[in-house]
Amino acid sequence: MTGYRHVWVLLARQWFLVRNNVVDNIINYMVIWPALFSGTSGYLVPRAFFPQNAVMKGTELIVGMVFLQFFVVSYFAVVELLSERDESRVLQYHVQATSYTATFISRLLFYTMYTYILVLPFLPMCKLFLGSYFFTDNAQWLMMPFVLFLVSLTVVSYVFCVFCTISTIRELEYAWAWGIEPVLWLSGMWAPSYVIAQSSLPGMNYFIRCNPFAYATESVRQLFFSDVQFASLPICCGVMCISAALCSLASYLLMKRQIQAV
Amino acid sequence: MESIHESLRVLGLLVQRELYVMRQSWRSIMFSALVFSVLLACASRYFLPLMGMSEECIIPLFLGSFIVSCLSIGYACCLEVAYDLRSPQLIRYYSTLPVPFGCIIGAQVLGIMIRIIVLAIPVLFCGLCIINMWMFLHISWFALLGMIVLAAVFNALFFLILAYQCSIPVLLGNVWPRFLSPLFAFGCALYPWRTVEAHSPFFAQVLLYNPMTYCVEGLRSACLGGSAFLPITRCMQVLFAVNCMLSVVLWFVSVNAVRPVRLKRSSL
Repeated sequence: MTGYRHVWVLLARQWFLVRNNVVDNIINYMVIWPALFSGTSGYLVPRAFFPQNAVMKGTELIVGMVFLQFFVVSYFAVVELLSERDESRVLQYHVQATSYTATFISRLLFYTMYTYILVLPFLPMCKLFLGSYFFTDNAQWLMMPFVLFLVSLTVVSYVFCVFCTISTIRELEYAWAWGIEPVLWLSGMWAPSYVIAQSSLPGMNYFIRCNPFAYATESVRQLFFSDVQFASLPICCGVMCISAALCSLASYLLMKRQIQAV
Repeated sequence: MESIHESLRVLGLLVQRELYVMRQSWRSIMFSALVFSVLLACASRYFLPLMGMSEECIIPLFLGSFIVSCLSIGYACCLEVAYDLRSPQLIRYYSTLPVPFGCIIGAQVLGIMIRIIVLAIPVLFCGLCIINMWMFLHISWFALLGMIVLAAVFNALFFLILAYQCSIPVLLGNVWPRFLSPLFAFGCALYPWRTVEAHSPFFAQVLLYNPMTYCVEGLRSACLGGSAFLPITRCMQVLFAVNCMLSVVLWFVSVNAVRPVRLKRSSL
């Protein structure tokens, strides 16, 4: 029972920290970015490069862009964790005052929810900006919140894991370059997974099958297209659950080791 | 004559200092830009053509998106300058040097320009090697050199203005989503200007108000030639005018940052 209370208190503390930035983040991630991505990936890029099939290709591109949103928002949210660990050492204080498990769960839960809430309106906003240029005839809007929550959990637990492998805040730049950027591009952020698998780059077919993040982008595309060329929703959700659990476990153990080392 | 010689000597020393700073941080900046460029080249060359994009579009798309690498390099320099300004108050020390203030600002502009050119050109070359479609390139070396210099000056001036004008939290938080992303997204980086003109002439006219459009289209024009992009001379003229304007803005912003009391008095 005390553990739950600790988690609640820590969650309240996290909210206290970010509440001053909420308006800024709403403007940035719920208004400006959907407008920018709608204008470019949803409208101008498909008209420039795929004039024959602009609406469908534009929808494929813009739906993948939600993945970039997840990574950017979670990256900037979880960065706080590094400064709490290395600079202010609040994390160590929280571990001592409560427990490591409560501290870890509260952070993971908070960043997942925070990322989820900021990214959830992205696709509806894009629909608002693009209108009929965004193909949503087959969209399963009711399933979207559930699938996006799983994507959020998978992405945040992975970002946690990446941040646990770097020892100082100075290595942040490297973390984005080697840990996040390749995952973004090779998991279907722009080109869908079936295209990457067909490419002449060696080993891409196997890589896509083994890459859990490819299933994350596939799940969102499946929501909008309901097409056999994308992986089915139950498979995608299953893979995301397993990969989120594995990444969470790995980051739990890695972070524990780092804090003990301190 | 003596004072000009002395100013040039100090300018040289200040640029040397900028290069020394670059040596400390070039690896991480270069690594990030290189990873982005390699992935972008792979996507442009191997993935998007399978979705139906024609082969002629591969290099224009890569060259346009390559500007993001320049932006991220410029942004990294901007953060370094901003930290220098706030934390050790380096600019106040600089302003006490026995040289004109313009010389100090000139050294900063030159330092960032050199960093952008030195770090971005290998990244560009590496991306073009991965794309491996040299037959499409019709490089006009003189125009390319001019465009690289003008684009680097634009980047340096723009990021220095941001460094002087914005606080660190703003630079870390809102600059990308509110300034750099729109500049990039509506700067023809992901699509050639002529294709926008074909679909939406009004929107194409709006894009012409973004200086990034001229950087990107100028680079494409210098590398690929032909009439599919904005003419190189027009791009260079506009960028030159924009750079002159930004120089004036930078002058006022930097003087304001260093001598706020003097400015306030004179305005009374």
